[in-house]
Amino acid sequence: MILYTILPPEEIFAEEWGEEAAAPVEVQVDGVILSVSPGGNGSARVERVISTNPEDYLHPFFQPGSPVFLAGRDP
Amino acid sequence: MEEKAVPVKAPAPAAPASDPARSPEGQQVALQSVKHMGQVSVPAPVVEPSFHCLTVVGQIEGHLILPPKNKTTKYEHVLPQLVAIEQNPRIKGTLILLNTVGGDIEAGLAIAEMIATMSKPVVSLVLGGGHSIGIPIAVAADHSFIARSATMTIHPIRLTGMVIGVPQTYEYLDKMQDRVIRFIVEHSRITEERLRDLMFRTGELMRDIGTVLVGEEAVKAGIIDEVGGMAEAMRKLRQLTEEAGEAEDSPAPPIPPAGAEELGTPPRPWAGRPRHRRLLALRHRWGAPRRRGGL
Repeated sequence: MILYTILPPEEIFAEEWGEEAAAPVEVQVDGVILSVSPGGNGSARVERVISTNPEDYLHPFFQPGSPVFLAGRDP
Repeated sequence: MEEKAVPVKAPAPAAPASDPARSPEGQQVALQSVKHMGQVSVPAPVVEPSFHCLTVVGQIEGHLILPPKNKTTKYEHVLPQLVAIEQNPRIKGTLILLNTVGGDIEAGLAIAEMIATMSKPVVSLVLGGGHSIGIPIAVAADHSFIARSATMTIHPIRLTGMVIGVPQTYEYLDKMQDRVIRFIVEHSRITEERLRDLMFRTGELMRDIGTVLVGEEAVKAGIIDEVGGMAEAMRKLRQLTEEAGEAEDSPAPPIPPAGAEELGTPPRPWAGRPRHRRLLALRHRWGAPRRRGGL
Protein backbone atom coordinates (compact mmCIF):
# COMPACT_ATOMS: atom_id res chain seq x y z
CA MET A 1 0.00 0.00 0.00
CA ILE A 2 1.27 3.47 -0.89
CA LEU A 3 -0.07 6.51 0.88
CA TYR A 4 0.08 9.79 -0.95
CA THR A 5 -0.39 12.33 1.78
CA ILE A 6 1.12 15.36 3.41
CA LEU A 7 0.25 14.10 6.88
CA PRO A 8 3.23 13.06 9.00
CA PRO A 9 3.51 9.28 9.45
CA GLU A 10 3.29 9.49 13.24
CA GLU A 11 -0.13 10.99 12.85
CA ILE A 12 -1.38 8.30 10.50
CA PHE A 13 0.18 5.36 12.33
CA ALA A 14 -0.41 6.72 15.82
CA GLU A 15 -2.25 3.59 16.90
CA GLU A 16 0.22 1.17 15.37
CA TRP A 17 3.19 3.01 16.85
CA GLY A 18 1.55 3.09 20.24
CA GLU A 19 1.98 6.78 20.82
CA GLU A 20 -1.58 7.80 20.68
CA ALA A 21 -2.02 11.47 21.42
CA ALA A 22 -4.17 12.50 24.33
CA ALA A 23 -7.71 13.25 23.28
CA PRO A 24 -8.28 16.97 22.78
CA VAL A 25 -10.31 18.67 25.44
CA GLU A 26 -12.55 21.63 24.95
CA VAL A 27 -12.03 24.73 27.01
CA GLN A 28 -13.77 28.04 26.85
CA VAL A 29 -11.63 31.16 26.83
CA ASP A 30 -13.55 34.39 26.89
CA GLY A 31 -16.59 32.83 25.32
CA VAL A 32 -14.68 31.08 22.53
CA ILE A 33 -14.50 27.30 22.51
CA LEU A 34 -10.96 26.04 21.92
CA SER A 35 -10.06 22.44 21.28
CA VAL A 36 -6.72 21.94 23.05
CA SER A 37 -4.46 18.93 23.45
CA PRO A 38 -3.19 18.61 27.01
CA GLY A 39 0.54 18.09 27.37
CA GLY A 40 0.86 17.50 31.11
CA ASN A 41 1.67 19.92 33.94
CA GLY A 42 -1.50 21.84 33.20
CA SER A 43 -0.13 23.00 29.85
CA ALA A 44 -1.89 22.49 26.57
CA ARG A 45 -1.70 23.55 22.96
CA VAL A 46 -4.45 25.00 20.85
CA GLU A 47 -5.56 22.51 18.20
CA ARG A 48 -8.59 24.20 16.80
CA VAL A 49 -10.86 27.18 17.30
CA ILE A 50 -14.54 26.36 17.30
CA SER A 51 -16.34 29.58 16.51
CA THR A 52 -18.40 31.20 13.81
CA ASN A 53 -16.88 34.62 14.41
CA PRO A 54 -14.13 35.11 11.81
CA GLU A 55 -12.35 37.57 14.12
CA ASP A 56 -11.66 34.79 16.63
CA TYR A 57 -9.45 33.03 14.09
CA LEU A 58 -7.24 36.11 13.81
CA HIS A 59 -6.69 36.37 17.55
CA PRO A 60 -2.97 35.93 18.32
CA PHE A 61 -3.59 33.76 21.40
CA PHE A 62 -5.87 31.35 19.56
CA GLN A 63 -3.46 30.37 16.79
CA PRO A 64 -3.03 26.58 16.50
CA GLY A 65 0.01 25.54 18.51
CA SER A 66 -0.22 28.44 20.96
CA PRO A 67 0.25 27.38 24.55
CA VAL A 68 -2.66 27.47 26.94
CA PHE A 69 -2.38 26.85 30.65
CA LEU A 70 -5.25 24.99 32.12
CA ALA A 71 -6.00 26.31 35.56
CA GLY A 72 -7.60 24.01 38.08
CA ARG A 73 -6.77 20.83 36.24
CA ASP A 74 -4.65 18.00 37.52
CA PRO A 75 -1.34 17.72 35.68
CA MET B 1 -11.98 69.46 -17.26
CA GLU B 2 -11.49 71.58 -14.25
CA GLU B 3 -10.04 69.98 -11.25
CA LYS B 4 -12.41 69.75 -8.39
CA ALA B 5 -11.82 69.19 -4.76
CA VAL B 6 -12.93 65.66 -4.07
CA PRO B 7 -14.16 65.08 -0.56
CA VAL B 8 -11.68 62.82 1.09
CA LYS B 9 -12.96 60.21 3.43
CA ALA B 10 -11.90 60.85 6.96
CA PRO B 11 -9.22 58.36 7.96
CA ALA B 12 -10.57 55.37 9.82
CA PRO B 13 -10.49 56.09 13.51
CA ALA B 14 -7.64 54.37 15.21
CA ALA B 15 -8.22 51.97 18.04
CA PRO B 16 -9.38 53.94 21.04
CA ALA B 17 -6.49 54.86 23.25
CA SER B 18 -8.45 53.74 26.27
CA ASP B 19 -8.40 50.12 25.05
CA PRO B 20 -5.62 48.72 27.21
CA ALA B 21 -5.38 45.34 25.51
CA ARG B 22 -4.34 46.97 22.21
CA SER B 23 -1.18 48.63 23.52
CA PRO B 24 2.07 46.65 23.86
CA GLU B 25 1.93 46.96 27.65
CA GLY B 26 -1.63 45.76 27.60
CA GLN B 27 -0.66 42.72 25.55
CA GLN B 28 2.09 41.96 28.03
CA VAL B 29 -0.42 42.08 30.82
CA ALA B 30 -2.77 39.88 28.83
CA LEU B 31 0.03 37.37 28.22
CA GLN B 32 0.83 37.34 31.90
CA SER B 33 -2.77 36.66 32.69
CA VAL B 34 -2.72 33.71 30.27
CA LYS B 35 0.38 32.35 31.99
CA HIS B 36 -0.96 32.72 35.46
CA MET B 37 -4.65 32.24 35.15
CA GLY B 38 -5.07 30.27 31.94
CA GLN B 39 -7.50 32.99 30.97
CA VAL B 40 -7.31 36.02 28.79
CA SER B 41 -9.67 38.86 28.21
CA VAL B 42 -10.01 39.16 24.48
CA PRO B 43 -9.87 42.76 23.26
CA ALA B 44 -13.09 43.65 21.55
CA PRO B 45 -12.53 44.13 17.83
CA VAL B 46 -12.87 47.71 16.64
CA VAL B 47 -15.55 46.73 14.14
CA GLU B 48 -17.51 43.61 14.85
CA PRO B 49 -17.93 41.58 11.68
CA SER B 50 -21.48 41.59 10.41
CA PHE B 51 -21.12 38.19 8.78
CA HIS B 52 -20.29 35.04 10.63
CA CYS B 53 -18.85 31.97 9.02
CA LEU B 54 -19.69 28.36 9.81
CA THR B 55 -17.27 25.76 8.58
CA VAL B 56 -18.46 22.22 8.05
CA VAL B 57 -15.32 20.15 7.67
CA GLY B 58 -14.34 16.51 7.81
CA GLN B 59 -17.07 14.21 8.98
CA ILE B 60 -20.44 15.29 10.21
CA GLU B 61 -20.79 13.54 13.47
CA GLY B 62 -23.82 12.51 15.38
CA HIS B 63 -23.27 9.50 17.56
CA LEU B 64 -20.22 7.82 16.08
CA ILE B 65 -17.23 7.72 18.35
CA LEU B 66 -14.32 8.73 16.19
CA PRO B 67 -10.61 8.70 16.92
CA PRO B 68 -9.51 12.04 18.40
CA LYS B 69 -7.41 12.92 15.38
CA ASN B 70 -10.37 12.86 13.01
CA LYS B 71 -11.65 16.18 11.80
CA THR B 72 -15.26 16.43 12.74
CA THR B 73 -18.10 18.88 12.70
CA LYS B 74 -20.02 18.18 15.84
CA TYR B 75 -23.60 19.18 16.06
CA GLU B 76 -23.36 20.14 19.72
CA HIS B 77 -20.99 22.87 18.52
CA VAL B 78 -22.87 23.89 15.42
CA LEU B 79 -26.46 24.06 16.68
CA PRO B 80 -25.85 26.49 19.58
CA GLN B 81 -23.72 28.65 17.30
CA LEU B 82 -26.56 28.87 14.82
CA VAL B 83 -28.90 29.88 17.64
CA ALA B 84 -26.41 32.55 18.73
CA ILE B 85 -26.17 33.90 15.17
CA GLU B 86 -29.95 34.01 14.89
CA GLN B 87 -30.27 35.91 18.15
CA ASN B 88 -27.41 38.40 17.86
CA PRO B 89 -28.78 41.58 16.24
CA ARG B 90 -25.30 42.67 15.12
CA ILE B 91 -24.83 39.60 12.94
CA LYS B 92 -26.43 40.24 9.58
CA GLY B 93 -25.78 37.00 7.76
CA THR B 94 -23.89 33.74 7.64
CA LEU B 95 -21.53 32.12 5.18
CA ILE B 96 -21.33 28.35 5.32
CA LEU B 97 -18.16 26.77 4.04
CA LEU B 98 -18.48 23.09 3.21
CA ASN B 99 -15.69 20.62 2.74
CA THR B 100 -17.15 17.44 4.06
CA VAL B 101 -17.18 13.77 3.23
CA GLY B 102 -20.61 13.40 4.76
CA GLY B 103 -21.47 11.55 7.89
CA ASP B 104 -24.39 10.95 10.16
CA ILE B 105 -27.77 11.46 8.52
CA GLU B 106 -29.65 12.60 11.60
CA ALA B 107 -26.94 15.13 12.51
CA GLY B 108 -26.64 16.36 8.92
CA LEU B 109 -30.37 16.82 8.54
CA ALA B 110 -30.56 18.56 11.92
CA ILE B 111 -27.93 21.11 10.83
CA ALA B 112 -29.60 21.50 7.43
CA GLU B 113 -33.02 22.13 8.99
CA MET B 114 -31.54 24.70 11.37
CA ILE B 115 -29.91 26.54 8.46
CA ALA B 116 -33.02 26.39 6.30
CA THR B 117 -35.23 27.86 9.02
CA MET B 118 -32.93 30.74 9.95
CA SER B 119 -34.41 34.17 9.37
CA LYS B 120 -31.06 35.77 8.45
CA PRO B 121 -29.55 35.42 5.00
CA VAL B 122 -27.37 32.34 4.59
CA VAL B 123 -25.07 31.62 1.65
CA SER B 124 -23.25 28.33 1.28
CA LEU B 125 -20.04 27.65 -0.60
CA VAL B 126 -18.94 24.11 -1.42
CA LEU B 127 -15.16 23.83 -1.56
CA GLY B 128 -13.32 20.63 -2.27
CA GLY B 129 -16.18 18.31 -1.51
CA GLY B 130 -19.72 18.37 -0.29
CA HIS B 131 -20.60 14.74 -0.36
CA SER B 132 -23.61 12.70 0.70
CA ILE B 133 -25.22 14.39 3.72
CA GLY B 134 -23.27 17.56 2.88
CA ILE B 135 -25.74 18.09 0.02
CA PRO B 136 -28.76 18.90 2.23
CA ILE B 137 -26.59 21.35 4.17
CA ALA B 138 -25.44 23.04 0.95
CA VAL B 139 -28.96 23.39 -0.44
CA ALA B 140 -30.42 24.55 2.89
CA ALA B 141 -28.89 28.01 2.40
CA ASP B 142 -30.78 30.82 0.69
CA HIS B 143 -28.23 30.73 -2.11
CA SER B 144 -25.61 28.09 -2.80
CA PHE B 145 -22.29 28.28 -4.58
CA ILE B 146 -19.84 25.61 -5.64
CA ALA B 147 -16.19 26.12 -6.50
CA ARG B 148 -15.31 25.10 -10.03
CA SER B 149 -13.10 22.28 -8.79
CA ALA B 150 -15.36 21.06 -6.00
CA THR B 151 -17.25 17.79 -6.16
CA MET B 152 -20.45 16.42 -4.75
CA THR B 153 -21.19 12.72 -4.50
CA ILE B 154 -24.82 11.67 -4.55
CA HIS B 155 -25.37 8.15 -3.35
CA PRO B 156 -27.95 6.18 -1.42
CA ILE B 157 -27.80 5.77 2.34
CA ARG B 158 -25.50 3.07 3.56
CA LEU B 159 -24.94 1.52 6.89
CA THR B 160 -21.70 0.63 8.52
CA GLY B 161 -21.50 -1.73 11.42
CA MET B 162 -24.10 -4.17 12.55
CA VAL B 163 -27.19 -4.52 10.42
CA ILE B 164 -30.14 -6.47 11.69
CA GLY B 165 -31.39 -8.30 8.68
CA VAL B 166 -35.12 -8.02 8.97
CA PRO B 167 -37.45 -6.48 6.37
CA GLN B 168 -38.20 -3.64 8.78
CA THR B 169 -34.57 -2.55 8.62
CA TYR B 170 -34.87 -2.05 4.90
CA GLU B 171 -38.11 -0.12 5.27
CA TYR B 172 -36.58 2.07 7.96
CA LEU B 173 -33.64 2.85 5.69
CA ASP B 174 -35.98 3.56 2.82
CA LYS B 175 -37.88 6.07 4.93
CA MET B 176 -34.64 7.75 5.93
CA GLN B 177 -33.68 7.91 2.25
CA ASP B 178 -37.00 9.59 1.45
CA ARG B 179 -36.42 12.22 4.13
CA VAL B 180 -33.08 13.18 2.60
CA ILE B 181 -34.50 13.23 -0.94
CA ARG B 182 -37.49 15.32 0.12
CA PHE B 183 -35.26 17.86 1.83
CA ILE B 184 -33.00 18.27 -1.21
CA VAL B 185 -35.95 18.54 -3.61
CA GLU B 186 -37.70 21.12 -1.44
CA HIS B 187 -34.63 23.32 -1.14
CA SER B 188 -33.16 23.17 -4.64
CA ARG B 189 -34.28 23.19 -8.27
CA ILE B 190 -33.76 19.46 -8.88
CA THR B 191 -36.76 17.19 -9.40
CA GLU B 192 -37.25 14.02 -7.40
CA GLU B 193 -37.01 11.82 -10.52
CA ARG B 194 -33.71 13.38 -11.55
CA LEU B 195 -32.26 13.10 -8.06
CA ARG B 196 -33.23 9.44 -7.75
CA ASP B 197 -31.79 8.82 -11.21
CA LEU B 198 -28.44 10.35 -10.14
CA MET B 199 -28.53 8.54 -6.82
CA PHE B 200 -29.05 5.04 -8.17
CA ARG B 201 -26.94 5.31 -11.31
CA THR B 202 -24.51 2.47 -11.88
CA GLY B 203 -21.14 2.70 -13.52
CA GLU B 204 -19.88 6.01 -12.17
CA LEU B 205 -18.64 4.94 -8.78
CA MET B 206 -16.44 1.94 -8.34
CA ARG B 207 -18.27 -0.89 -6.55
CA ASP B 208 -21.09 1.46 -5.65
CA ILE B 209 -24.05 3.24 -7.13
CA GLY B 210 -24.38 6.99 -7.39
CA THR B 211 -22.95 9.98 -9.25
CA VAL B 212 -20.09 12.39 -8.78
CA LEU B 213 -20.88 15.95 -9.86
CA VAL B 214 -18.00 18.35 -10.44
CA GLY B 215 -18.53 22.13 -10.11
CA GLU B 216 -20.67 23.18 -13.05
CA GLU B 217 -22.39 19.77 -13.24
CA ALA B 218 -23.96 20.33 -9.82
CA VAL B 219 -25.38 23.62 -11.09
CA LYS B 220 -26.67 21.99 -14.29
CA ALA B 221 -28.30 19.22 -12.24
CA GLY B 222 -30.14 21.92 -10.30
CA ILE B 223 -28.71 21.15 -6.89
CA ILE B 224 -26.49 24.23 -6.55
CA ASP B 225 -27.47 27.72 -7.67
CA GLU B 226 -24.19 29.04 -9.05
CA VAL B 227 -20.53 28.33 -9.69
CA GLY B 228 -18.44 30.79 -7.75
CA GLY B 229 -15.92 31.49 -5.05
CA MET B 230 -15.35 33.70 -2.08
CA ALA B 231 -16.00 37.03 -3.84
CA GLU B 232 -19.28 35.88 -5.39
CA ALA B 233 -20.48 34.34 -2.14
CA MET B 234 -19.73 37.48 -0.13
CA ARG B 235 -21.32 39.71 -2.77
CA LYS B 236 -24.47 37.60 -2.71
CA LEU B 237 -24.53 37.64 1.08
CA ARG B 238 -24.26 41.43 1.10
CA GLN B 239 -27.00 41.70 -1.48
CA LEU B 240 -29.33 39.40 0.46
CA THR B 241 -28.59 41.28 3.66
CA GLU B 242 -29.37 44.59 2.04
CA GLU B 243 -32.65 43.27 0.71
CA ALA B 244 -33.59 41.86 4.08
CA GLY B 245 -32.59 45.08 5.80
CA GLU B 246 -34.62 47.24 3.43
CA ALA B 247 -37.67 45.08 3.87
CA GLU B 248 -37.93 45.84 7.56
CA ASP B 249 -36.43 49.30 7.77
CA SER B 250 -35.26 51.30 4.79
CA PRO B 251 -31.72 52.55 5.36
CA ALA B 252 -30.44 55.92 4.27
CA PRO B 253 -30.29 56.21 0.50
CA PRO B 254 -26.83 55.74 -1.01
CA ILE B 255 -24.76 58.87 -1.54
CA PRO B 256 -24.97 59.93 -5.19
CA PRO B 257 -21.69 59.56 -7.08
CA ALA B 258 -19.47 62.63 -6.91
CA GLY B 259 -19.91 64.95 -9.85
CA ALA B 260 -23.35 63.68 -10.77
CA GLU B 261 -24.93 67.10 -10.25
CA GLU B 262 -22.39 68.90 -12.42
CA LEU B 263 -23.29 66.58 -15.27
CA GLY B 264 -26.88 67.67 -15.03
CA THR B 265 -28.33 64.41 -13.76
CA PRO B 266 -30.10 64.56 -10.45
CA PRO B 267 -28.96 62.01 -7.90
CA ARG B 268 -31.17 58.98 -8.24
CA PRO B 269 -30.88 56.91 -5.11
CA TRP B 270 -33.48 54.46 -6.41
CA ALA B 271 -31.67 53.80 -9.68
CA GLY B 272 -30.71 50.22 -10.18
CA ARG B 273 -33.05 48.99 -7.51
CA PRO B 274 -35.87 46.57 -8.19
CA ARG B 275 -39.16 48.31 -8.88
CA HIS B 276 -40.76 47.46 -5.55
CA ARG B 277 -37.80 49.01 -3.74
CA ARG B 278 -37.92 52.32 -5.63
CA LEU B 279 -40.96 53.58 -3.78
CA LEU B 280 -39.23 52.95 -0.49
CA ALA B 281 -36.20 54.93 -1.63
CA LEU B 282 -38.37 57.78 -2.86
CA ARG B 283 -40.33 57.94 0.33
CA HIS B 284 -37.18 58.11 2.30
CA ARG B 285 -35.80 60.90 0.18
CA TRP B 286 -38.92 63.02 0.51
CA GLY B 287 -38.76 62.62 4.21
CA ALA B 288 -42.16 61.04 4.52
CA PRO B 289 -43.02 60.14 8.09
CA ARG B 290 -42.14 56.53 8.62
CA ARG B 291 -44.28 53.99 10.35
CA ARG B 292 -47.22 56.22 11.10
CA GLY B 293 -50.36 54.38 12.03
CA GLY B 294 -52.15 52.71 9.19
CA LEU B 295 -49.30 52.53 6.73
